[in-house]
Amino acid sequence: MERDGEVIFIDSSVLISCGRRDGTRFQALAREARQREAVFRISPQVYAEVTGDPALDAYSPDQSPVDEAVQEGWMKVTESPTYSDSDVSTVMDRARNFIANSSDRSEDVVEKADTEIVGLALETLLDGAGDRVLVVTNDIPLGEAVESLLPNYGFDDEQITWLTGSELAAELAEDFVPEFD
Amino acid sequence: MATRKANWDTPLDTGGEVFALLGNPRKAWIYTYIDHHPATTIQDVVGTLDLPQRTVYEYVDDLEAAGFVEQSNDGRPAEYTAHEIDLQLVAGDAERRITPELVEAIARRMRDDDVDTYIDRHGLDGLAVALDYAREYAEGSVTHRIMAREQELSPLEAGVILDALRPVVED
Repeated sequence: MERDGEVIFIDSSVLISCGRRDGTRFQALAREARQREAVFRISPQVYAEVTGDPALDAYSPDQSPVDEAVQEGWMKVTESPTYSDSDVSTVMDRARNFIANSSDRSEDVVEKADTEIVGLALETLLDGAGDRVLVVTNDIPLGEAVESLLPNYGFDDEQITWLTGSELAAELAEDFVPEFD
Repeated sequence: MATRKANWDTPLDTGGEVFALLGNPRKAWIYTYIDHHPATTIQDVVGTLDLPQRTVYEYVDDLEAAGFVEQSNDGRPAEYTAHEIDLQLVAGDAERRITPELVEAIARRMRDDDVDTYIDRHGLDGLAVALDYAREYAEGSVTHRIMAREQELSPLEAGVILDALRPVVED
């Protein structure tokens, strides 16, 4: 548990945006972790997503900044959520449904694993491993699912926060082509 | 070459210039720069690009002849302002809209390696489709993972291009 009992989860959409080009965004993320005295959590699926594909070295040939962050100690890969816990499993199903509805798609195109961050956030609150959770994602339907579903488990709105990457750190929204700003 | 002032009543003639624009990132850059900085001069544009001045003049002339930009003052130095481009291309089941946003996305490959890589891998059509997703993404009606599945990309690649195109759609 960190300062104020807040546990912070970062989703792949934000990490992917931070991994682009030079390291300024990752440095901003590191600064946020320092200022909040936090170790950002990422799920195993998110970790796999952002460090995975060697065929895509064209996008980022250097050593994964996520691995560096983990080495430096301000990021940590968690266990997967406990699928066998019925509350955790149910909230993930609900999140899956929520995302399908928000995007006006069939559920087939949303996998339960997409919603692990929601399961992990709930698990943290239920276990008392954190008093508050902050979920950072640029996938708006996922963020809205967090805010909409978690309070139903007996928590206050103040205990559950969703931020986009740029709401966490302004650098995450800076345009790489300022001439067109 | 005759300078025919284009208007949208002559889509075939104008269309030729549009395709030249799509295929030439430097021209796309010039159009987009003018679009974002109304009443800009050739000198201003040259300052942003590593192109000889005469090439910029030539490209601006082409854009002007096609009706995509026009001189917006009377004096010297000439100041240019952009006109909206809106063309629709239908081929079989595929439909594409050619808009200033698409032109901007192409222009960005001059500075953004991720956009450049994406176009190399998926072509201009791939980019146009990604732009549609980027709009949905900004509106909150799609996730990067959904895009990945629907377009058969890795989530990483989908996430990268959505992030790269965000400033194009969030104006």
